[in-house]
Amino acid sequence: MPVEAVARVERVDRVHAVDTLDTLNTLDARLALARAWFASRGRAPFEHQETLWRAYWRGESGLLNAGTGTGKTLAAWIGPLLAGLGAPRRPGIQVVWVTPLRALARDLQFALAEPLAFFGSDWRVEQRTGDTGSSLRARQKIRPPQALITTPESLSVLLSDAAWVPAFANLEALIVDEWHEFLGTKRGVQMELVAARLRTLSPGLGVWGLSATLPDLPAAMRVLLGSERPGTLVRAGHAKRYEIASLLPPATTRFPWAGHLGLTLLPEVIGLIERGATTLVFTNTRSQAELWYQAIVSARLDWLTTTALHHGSIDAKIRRRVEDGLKSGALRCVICTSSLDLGVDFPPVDQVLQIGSPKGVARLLQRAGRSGHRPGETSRVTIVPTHALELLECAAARRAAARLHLEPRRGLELALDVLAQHLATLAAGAGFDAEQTLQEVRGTHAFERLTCLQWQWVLDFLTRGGAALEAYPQFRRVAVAGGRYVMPDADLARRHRRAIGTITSSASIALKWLKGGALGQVEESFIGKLKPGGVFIFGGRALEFVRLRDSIAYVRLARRPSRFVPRWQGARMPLSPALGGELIELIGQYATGRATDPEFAVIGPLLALQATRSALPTRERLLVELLENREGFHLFVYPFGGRLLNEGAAALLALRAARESPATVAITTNEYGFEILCEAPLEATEANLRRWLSPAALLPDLLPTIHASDLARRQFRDIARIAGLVDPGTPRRGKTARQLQASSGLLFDVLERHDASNLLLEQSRREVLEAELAHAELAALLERMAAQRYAIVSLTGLSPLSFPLWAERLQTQTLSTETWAARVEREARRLERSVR
Amino acid sequence: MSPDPVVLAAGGESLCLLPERAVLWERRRTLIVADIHFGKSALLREHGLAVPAGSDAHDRERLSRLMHATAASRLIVLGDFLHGALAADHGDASAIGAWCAAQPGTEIVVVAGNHDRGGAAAFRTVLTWMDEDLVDGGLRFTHDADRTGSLAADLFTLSGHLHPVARLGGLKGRALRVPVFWRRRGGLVLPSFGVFTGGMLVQAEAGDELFAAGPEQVLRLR
Repeated sequence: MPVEAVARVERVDRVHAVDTLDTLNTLDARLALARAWFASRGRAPFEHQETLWRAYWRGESGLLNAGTGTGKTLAAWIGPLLAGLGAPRRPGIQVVWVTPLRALARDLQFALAEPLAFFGSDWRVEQRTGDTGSSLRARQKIRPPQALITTPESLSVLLSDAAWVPAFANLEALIVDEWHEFLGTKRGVQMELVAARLRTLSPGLGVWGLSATLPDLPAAMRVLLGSERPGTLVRAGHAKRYEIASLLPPATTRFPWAGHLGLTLLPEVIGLIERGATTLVFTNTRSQAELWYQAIVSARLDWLTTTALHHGSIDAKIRRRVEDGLKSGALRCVICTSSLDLGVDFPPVDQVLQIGSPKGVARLLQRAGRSGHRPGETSRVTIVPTHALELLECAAARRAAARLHLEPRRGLELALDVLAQHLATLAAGAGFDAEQTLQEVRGTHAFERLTCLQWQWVLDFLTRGGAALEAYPQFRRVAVAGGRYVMPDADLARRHRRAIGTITSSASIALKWLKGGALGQVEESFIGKLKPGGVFIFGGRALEFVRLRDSIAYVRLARRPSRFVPRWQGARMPLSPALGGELIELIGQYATGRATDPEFAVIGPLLALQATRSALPTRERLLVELLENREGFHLFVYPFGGRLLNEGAAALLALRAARESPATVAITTNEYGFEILCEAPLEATEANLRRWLSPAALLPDLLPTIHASDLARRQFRDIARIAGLVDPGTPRRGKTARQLQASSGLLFDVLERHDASNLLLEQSRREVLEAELAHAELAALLERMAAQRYAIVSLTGLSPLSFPLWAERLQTQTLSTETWAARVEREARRLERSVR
Repeated sequence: MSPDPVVLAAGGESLCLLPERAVLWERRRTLIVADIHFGKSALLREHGLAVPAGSDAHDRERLSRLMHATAASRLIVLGDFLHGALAADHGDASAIGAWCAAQPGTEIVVVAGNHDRGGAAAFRTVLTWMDEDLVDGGLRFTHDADRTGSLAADLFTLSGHLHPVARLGGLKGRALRVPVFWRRRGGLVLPSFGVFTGGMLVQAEAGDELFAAGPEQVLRLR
């Protein structure tokens, strides 16, 4: 449902009236007025709020570091609002407020509108997102509001319309909310480019980012403002208090050693929900959320109406209803994924549970912050481990959080696909001048190192298709007219607007009731595996798949139950290296008897068994385990680098070993280490292992794997979409729309064959190297491993650390989950017998 | 050419499946392909999508080589010869026309497909354009067998349109998609011939047979 409500302005008598505009122009008068408003609410402004207002009134830009519940919205809003009050009325938008999630826009609108009446401001605060209806859109074009709440994508869409561009000529402030969410993503790059353009349109513009705590805040600020531009960093003085606890299994419970559902602690979780008023239960994957929802409502049928499910694949309308229920306090419990990580206030929430390892410290704090949202309150989160080793991750996360040992985030550089999209946006709008725009683009952090060749290539890409002219006959998209780059074809401009947006996801299929009504989306690959009549769980209900027509999967309520839950791609978040480091530190402390965390009451015996059967890995000691059984020869290595880096190290080892003596191997990785299984024994001597895991010649060894694998081809999918190489599709899928379809994989092949120098191909290889293979981080991990002592242990049976790896491989190999569960159960019992 | 050709007996004829995504009907020295989609990249370029040219020429070269290797005297295209209608004076149309004209002693027959609508005009002089199914010996040639309902008929039907592909192996996104010949009740669906064409996962039923095409040989999957 599009929200078209323009924020209501209620008439309230101004208590501390300031009569003339002149008086407001002194900073003290503005400050007094702001304080008066706070006083009317029975509080006083925080120091960081006043600091930011002053900095803003001095004409500065910068970054505010403040967690949720520290009044960051008012810190950024009061400055421009009061400055506007004292200034003569100027046409157009005064403040643009960018939020990463359009779901947050509605709440922001109310928050920003709240003080208007007191200050006697006649500003209109409106939203403009993908949900905004056509009548409001049309009205905004004629009479733009003074304050516009929007997303980077919608802002780009406005810039792609020449009629909108003048509305930004008098822009005073650009506020980028939750900047940490954008940082390090392509949306962040898009935001940088849009900010640069807005600064050109309105040179005096003040740009402010609002960010949660990051390890390198000055760097985060430089990315937003551009490296050359001075900025003011404001930090919220009082630190938010967090309480992080683990839910420890009762001593009598048999606690699993591997697995990921963790329903073992269901009774305890239900107990916690019962005691709290409103509980948010965070899971790491959508499938896990579905399963926990099922489990909770089947255990407590009386909670059916007060328990809900919220994740990114559920239809937006349904999600909105759940959010409203949370806000009003009508819901007792919501099981959710990262879909509720961000922003919106749910004051009734007094308890947050995290199912499974939080995987990263910053994420855990973000989720904890959903409770105790008000300034001064303590945020509490309880981690519910799903298997024994995860208890260690709980302890590690708590320690890292206490020391604010957070994951770093760097801004992306030279994303030419985003640049191509942005330039097409400018061309579709008022057009652009190459010389001046190059200066503007180079002023951003992302493109400060853009070469003239790269710039010329992007211009060629837009005007001629590519650098090789003969390869692109009849191509037309952007034209040069009177020295300006423009997009003359209205149809092309329309299609470009639909394609704007850099968040891309894997091909999804809409899920609809047979009788009509949307349910959400699932991935194409999941539906591909279903036969008509197949039953699966979605949105907390068992559904029967009826048929697939035109990218819509039709379903009806199933009569029989199912345990089959869609698996969404990207469901697996790797453990952050920050947390991995903390983890190995913790094991080291245990090894020397210095660990006192409550989790060790449960995990202690397991680690003791690991020490007797094998050895404990520590920061100084790299553990390698060898095992021979009827499956073959297993090599287990534990670098604690997180899933992504462990996978890289394993692939490298396998590649180098196979070069010396060819063999077929199976690789399995988890957060702690990796397993290499081969039919013939590997010569796993220390000298060999050190050679295979050496950081030397890493790049030359990694590059062939990129070529051999499908990685670059898959990475190209997003790049092709962002750069405008694939058609966004039309709402009405007419004949032309179908004729314009070409998969990015095909495009990749055609480009490699017929325009191999295309820079977008190079970019996809670079992205694979940087992001997918995390080349720099992998090099650092290998350096660390090279400095460690090796402990090579020959096992007679699985150890507690190797067991989860073994179980994981088994799970990916066997088809039926029942047999997997049964085998793991049997093996776990055998292991446990040896504890006693 | 495949060292071990897969030969199907159907409709009283033997059909040789080639890894080049084509079928050779040796008795009649006929080469059969489906869904070339000539002119696709040009159409995309005209709509502002920066796709390089070259795949058309590549397809023509593949066809030439194949016709030479099989010594075929007739080429049957099971529809979607073109991706969209081309004006007679269009650069791509003249390139295709020139290629057709340069196949002396070879009859080229196009059984029109849904993408070919309105495209016949530019090629009437250089090839045989059929708006209806072609019947020859015990075989019927059509574009979309499901639409024309020819599967239920008594003749064995060769068709295209579906661009059938199958998934091989692996979980975790490592699966490989390969073009397949899909033999089902009453007919055979050919994989698409054009290199710049996508594919649709086959929903095979019990009794169906699938043969993976290429790169070096045809492999029976089920």
